[in-house]
Amino acid sequence: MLTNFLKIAWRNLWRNKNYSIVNIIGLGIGLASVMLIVTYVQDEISYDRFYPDGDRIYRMSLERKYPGRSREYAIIPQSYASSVKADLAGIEDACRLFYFQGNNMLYRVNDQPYEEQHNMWADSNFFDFFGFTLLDGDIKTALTKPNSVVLTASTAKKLFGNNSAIGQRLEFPQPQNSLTVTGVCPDIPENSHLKFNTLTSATSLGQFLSTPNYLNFSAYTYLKLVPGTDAVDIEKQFPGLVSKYASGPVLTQFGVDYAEYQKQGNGYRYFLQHLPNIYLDSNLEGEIKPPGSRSRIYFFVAIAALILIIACINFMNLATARSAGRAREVGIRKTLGSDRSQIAKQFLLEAIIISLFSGAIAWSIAALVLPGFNTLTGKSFLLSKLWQFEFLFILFGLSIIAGLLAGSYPAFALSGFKPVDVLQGKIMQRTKGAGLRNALVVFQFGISVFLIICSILVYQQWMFTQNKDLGFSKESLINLQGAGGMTFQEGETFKKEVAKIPGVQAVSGCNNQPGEQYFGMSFKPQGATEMNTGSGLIVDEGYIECMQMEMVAGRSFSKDFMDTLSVVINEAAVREMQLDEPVGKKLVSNDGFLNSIEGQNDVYTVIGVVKDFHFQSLHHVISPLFLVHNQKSFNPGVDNQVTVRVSNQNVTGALERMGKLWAELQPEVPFRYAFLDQEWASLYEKEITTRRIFQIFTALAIFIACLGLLALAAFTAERRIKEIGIRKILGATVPGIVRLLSLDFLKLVLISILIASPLAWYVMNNWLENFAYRINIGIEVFILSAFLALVIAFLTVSFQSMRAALNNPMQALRSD
Amino acid sequence: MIRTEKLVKIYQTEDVETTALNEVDIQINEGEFVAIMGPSGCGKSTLLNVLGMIDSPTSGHYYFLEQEVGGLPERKRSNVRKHNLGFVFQSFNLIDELTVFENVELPMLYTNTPSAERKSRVEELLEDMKMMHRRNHFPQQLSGGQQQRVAVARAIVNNPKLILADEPTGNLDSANGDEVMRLMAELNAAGTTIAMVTHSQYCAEFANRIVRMLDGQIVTENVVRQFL
Repeated sequence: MLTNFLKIAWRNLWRNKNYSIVNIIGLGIGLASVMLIVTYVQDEISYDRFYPDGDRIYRMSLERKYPGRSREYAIIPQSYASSVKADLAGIEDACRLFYFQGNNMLYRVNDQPYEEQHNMWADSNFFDFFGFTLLDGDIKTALTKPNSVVLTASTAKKLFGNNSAIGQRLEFPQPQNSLTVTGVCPDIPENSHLKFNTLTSATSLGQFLSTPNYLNFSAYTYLKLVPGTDAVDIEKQFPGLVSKYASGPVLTQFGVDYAEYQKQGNGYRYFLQHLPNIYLDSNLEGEIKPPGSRSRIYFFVAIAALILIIACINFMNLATARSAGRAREVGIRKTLGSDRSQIAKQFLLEAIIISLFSGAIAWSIAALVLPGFNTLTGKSFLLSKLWQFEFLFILFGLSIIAGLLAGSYPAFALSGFKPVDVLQGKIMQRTKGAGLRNALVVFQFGISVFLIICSILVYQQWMFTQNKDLGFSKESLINLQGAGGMTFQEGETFKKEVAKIPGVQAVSGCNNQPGEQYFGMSFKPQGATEMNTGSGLIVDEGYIECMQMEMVAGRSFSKDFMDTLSVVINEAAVREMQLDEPVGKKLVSNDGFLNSIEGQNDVYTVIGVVKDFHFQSLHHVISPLFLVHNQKSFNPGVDNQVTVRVSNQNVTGALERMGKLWAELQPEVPFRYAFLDQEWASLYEKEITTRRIFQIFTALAIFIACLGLLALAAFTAERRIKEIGIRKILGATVPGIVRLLSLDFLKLVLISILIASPLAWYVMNNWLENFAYRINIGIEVFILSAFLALVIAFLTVSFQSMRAALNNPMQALRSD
Repeated sequence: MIRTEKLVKIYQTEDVETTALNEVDIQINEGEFVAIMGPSGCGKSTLLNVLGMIDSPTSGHYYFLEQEVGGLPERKRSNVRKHNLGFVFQSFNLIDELTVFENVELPMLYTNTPSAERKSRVEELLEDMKMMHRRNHFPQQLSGGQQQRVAVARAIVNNPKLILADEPTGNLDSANGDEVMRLMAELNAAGTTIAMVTHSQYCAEFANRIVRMLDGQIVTENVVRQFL
């Protein structure tokens, strides 16, 4: 019997090639989309799943509360690791990691200069704690001594080729900082929230680490719980720990009792983040790697499901449309003794065969577009990934499910035919199934219209963030990184020389550029009790002008003044500190680096107010910002940057000249530059990816829906061929018939627009709530989407209608 | 073999009620060849469908092999059908996607006949019908007469006790029609009971008995030949 079914299935597919192609290709594209999305999602959710004890490792993170607001940090004061371990039951071990973002290491190996990104410092138990192995070196002692470094395998290979790295030295300009290689570990897998090329012993950080610190955040602190310990129980004990250890330092540093400090709205709330969830669920300040997003995963899964549904609907629709053609066969089979379940099985089997074909097509499509998909998502999936059992199994399973889903209605409907009705030709005249077909078309186009509206809004929001006035001009700005090695005087000389280069319009210096992580700074008006915490920026006198920022009051820093005790604040800081006449106001800070003598407050004067500018992506509201002058002597660790505004002509030439000047001043530091507009755009990298994926899959969804509509229109035209013939003989015109045939479909599309629009409005309005700066949804989006959907549907349907209308009417009637 | 009592079949549409069978009592004995005749719309095809268990009566009784089958559920009816009945239609009703061989074989698949037995039985029948050379052809590649011969082969492949034929020659020219009728007569002679609906007096002459219907009722029954 099975052979019989297979034969019939195959011959039917072959006989109705167009129908089969529409079905197979449509479902194939659908399945390919789903598989690629599944692969992406699988990769995203695979992060940090490989640690042997990962299920009981947590990161201790911090919500720092300020009056009226709070910020969450991935890093916490470094002394908590040992305190937590000592004071709380249920902690098996603790491990700290340090990572100073953007600080590249400049060193020499065998007199060759190198610059290394992604450098971390770790406690000596790091490898044991996370369950990493060492390829070379002693896992117990590798990170115990100061100035020991463990390299990843690829870093070791880069530096030492095939020679053993153990015992080799990385020489730093200050000999006391040079490192000895004590181990080589395998490269950290891509799907980890940790990333390093070098791992230096935390003991190398010297005094910084030996001084107890419960207020300033610096350490990524991981805790391994004793099996069976509940993380919530541990979290409950954190407030007690904070009172015990932080209240003293709070009193010393801020001059208030901790309880009073909390009353003012300040405080520290520590919480635990489960290691396997950090990548997807955590988006705190100071994350080691740009995090993923669980909502994006859901978003993609939803798109995948919608595409699959559209493809399945095609399948169902076409099968029911064609049921009249298959009815006779059902009648004969039933007359010959087949029962309903056998017929149903037959049609399900047919559907599954088509879906398995589609599965094969889907695999080929996935393989074909994989490189493009990699570019799109920033992943690096290999073709071998598609051969993995897991992938094939999911594809096979999905194909079967799609087949069952798509074949269920036809199987159910067709098997219900009464043989006597079919053999007497009653089924042919029946319009049963048309209602369902129409409902499915409405559903399918509803999804398409929904996706069209969403992608227009996603695009609009994107353009809005790109075109929004940021408060500075990011175009034609070149940022030279790594100027921190120059002395103040060298820096001044360098800037002066750069300014002479033709095409250079302005030169300035700063410690961070918009888009980078600013460090924290806090000030309060002299005499006030409450400290205002904001972000800090160290700039020279040319910075505000070079960035084309606007001063709304007072003046900017100037060489004509002694500005070491001057501060420029932004409008948000004015609001936060409730200053009526900000210029001339006196501010004091408790931050150590802003005071020349410990325990005494230097008095700063507000010399100007800069118009609010976006120094973070548009996800964030502009927060208070304090700009201080770079003549103030700062501790090392401030990595200076030189910002150059150039005219658009001969940028390359200007860069070359800058490179030469750089090499003369600090030959051991590579000349690195970045265009600020590109750096700024990279803040939205994930958004760009999301937007692109969304647009591509929306287009695919619409394409598949149209493919179905095209075939459905063909069947409708075929069914009404006699009617068309009669109408033509009675004098109907071709446009009249096209209108007649198309109108039915367009009505359905219109209904789908009416249903999808409010739904899309609701969903997108919610989505836009995530942005601090967002567009308002206008009616034009819906009009445009409706117009697009109608045009697409009309073009699809009218092609078939036109063909039917142009037929010779006599031919139609004779064939009846 | 077949006996009906006050068999009624009413078709109901929105406003019209049509009585296709009006208290029909008919008996067909084993080995008989009965022709059912009458003008269009007299209910003869309805009667055949009810007798063939592809349609159920509105009321009345239908006994097949002494068993009441009128009210059987579809699954049971289909079971009785596949083991006892063979059908021949005016429009042949072969499945276009199956070859001649596969079409004839189909009923045996539903009775779970082993493959070897199916093969030999189908081949034997195709030989008899002189269709062996066409075994791998599809229905569209055959003439009307050939298609009906295949349909007859399919109808008898399971050795049914009763063959129901609805205008078997209606779509055939006279030569092909003749051949099909001769086949039917031979089957009857070999012991198969046949009930045949026809418009043609000529075809009806092949039967032992002619039943005439009008407006859903049997009006006359003539014995053509003494049934042996």
